[in-house]
Amino acid sequence: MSLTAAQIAHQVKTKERSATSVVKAALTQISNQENHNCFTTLLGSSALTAAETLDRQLAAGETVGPLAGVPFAVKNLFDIAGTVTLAGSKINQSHTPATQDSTAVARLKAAGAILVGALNMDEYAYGFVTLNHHYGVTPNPHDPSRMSGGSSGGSAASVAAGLVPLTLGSDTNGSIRVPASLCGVYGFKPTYGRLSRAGAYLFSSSLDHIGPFARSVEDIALAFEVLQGPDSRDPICTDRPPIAPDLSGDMTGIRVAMATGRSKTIATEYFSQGMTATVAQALEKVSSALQVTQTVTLPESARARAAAYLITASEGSQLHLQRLQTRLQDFDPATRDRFVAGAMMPNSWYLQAQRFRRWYRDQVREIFKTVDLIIAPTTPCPAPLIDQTTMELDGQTVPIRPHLGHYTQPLSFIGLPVLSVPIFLPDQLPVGIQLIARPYDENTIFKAAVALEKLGVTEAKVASSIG
Amino acid sequence: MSKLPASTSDGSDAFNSAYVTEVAKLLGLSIPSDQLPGVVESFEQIHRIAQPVLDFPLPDTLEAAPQFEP
Repeated sequence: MSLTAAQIAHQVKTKERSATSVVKAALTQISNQENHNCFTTLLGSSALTAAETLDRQLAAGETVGPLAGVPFAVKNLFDIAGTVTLAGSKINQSHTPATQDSTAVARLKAAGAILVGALNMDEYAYGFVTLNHHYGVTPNPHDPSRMSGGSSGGSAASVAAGLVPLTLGSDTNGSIRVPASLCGVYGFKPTYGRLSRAGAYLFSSSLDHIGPFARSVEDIALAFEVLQGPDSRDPICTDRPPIAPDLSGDMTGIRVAMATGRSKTIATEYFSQGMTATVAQALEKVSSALQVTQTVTLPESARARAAAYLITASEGSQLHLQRLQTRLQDFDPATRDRFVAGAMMPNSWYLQAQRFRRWYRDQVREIFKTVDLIIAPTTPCPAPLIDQTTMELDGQTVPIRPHLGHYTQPLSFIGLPVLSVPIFLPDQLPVGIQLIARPYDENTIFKAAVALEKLGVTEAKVASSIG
Repeated sequence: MSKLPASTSDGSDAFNSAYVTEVAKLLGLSIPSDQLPGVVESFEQIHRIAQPVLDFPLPDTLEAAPQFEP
């Protein structure tokens, strides 16, 4: 399914195609391509019923939403009424089915989108790889020998594979942006608290965000628009009024800077460390297209990343302590030891990390007095091989799993809105570049993203490597 | 903020191993002996990562936000 969500909604609303035919096609494609291993739950029957209902509404002349007939899927940590929320775990299999949809799912459905299933992820969202011990690996659609990234790997890969045009994921330290980068799609993490997380299985409360994946900026904006709004079910969700996405592409007056140095001087500062040549070229392309002439330094980003790690370890472990006490052996070994160790952290470490967080936020706020948009790479490299465990970072051999979040973690740490945009260089696997704005200024990101898309610098291609 | 014991093979691994074992009891965690090294290694990692954050001087007046706002 190479059509975007906007194109599908247009065809359905103009009755060029029925929602039922669209959903049937998506379900057939998903079933025929099980080697993608994107889906952990398929909801064929309810999806077809919803599509038929929508077609009847259209036939009766009723108004339908902006995402009418668009098949979508969600990371399997979003509650779906009548379905068990697995969160990538074995333990949750014994949970009772959710009694209501998560707010995000409900809002997309209310906009006319049709939910077709739930997607693979790292267990409890603790990872950047989607190599799930219980539900298997989700390979990269552009090269199945490589990883899709995580933890929202199923969400990114299913969009890249053309199985669905729109998915939802969650991002604590980069779990939307990392797989978006490796799979060559758009992945959007709005400002912390902008979108309701009600009914989404928590990982690290003070760091968790939700957001969409798609193959066009317009689709990201369509989803963002309908997902916004206050929600009494989520105490973190802002009561600010929703904003209308600005897709004008007008960059007039927008001051753009690159985070710490150009590619010609890589390996000198944090947001250049470990950058491969492919990533450097992609960054240069975006920099050139946006006419970037200045650089900014986000001070102490390495410490920010460390503090984010501590907060994640502590909050995530606290959430799972009872399960660690009673069902330790049912955890994925890749997450088990980290959770157990996190539970043992002295609280002074956690509180120092939270105090540092406020300091870091204040420093970055100062930077946004002089610039409106910052660009930085999303991942240090294109998709690593699935069985690859280490990578080179500035001459050092480091483990891959944590370092895929090298560039993403300091930004989610203080809740900034970020869109990872896809860059395909000739004969290279895709990589992502982050567009970063001040809190609640998602529109500056949309303007830049549209400008890049119009210039042909960014593009999300449907993969053809997995049959 | 006082220095943590250095996390190297000079004996501090033993310190962390002992810490992990004792705290596991406090937390009611039964860690099989074959899985203990993995937990100790993970704790060593947290220990290493924590040090630069703990070393960073912050004013006493800087409070952790009860509810974080960006």
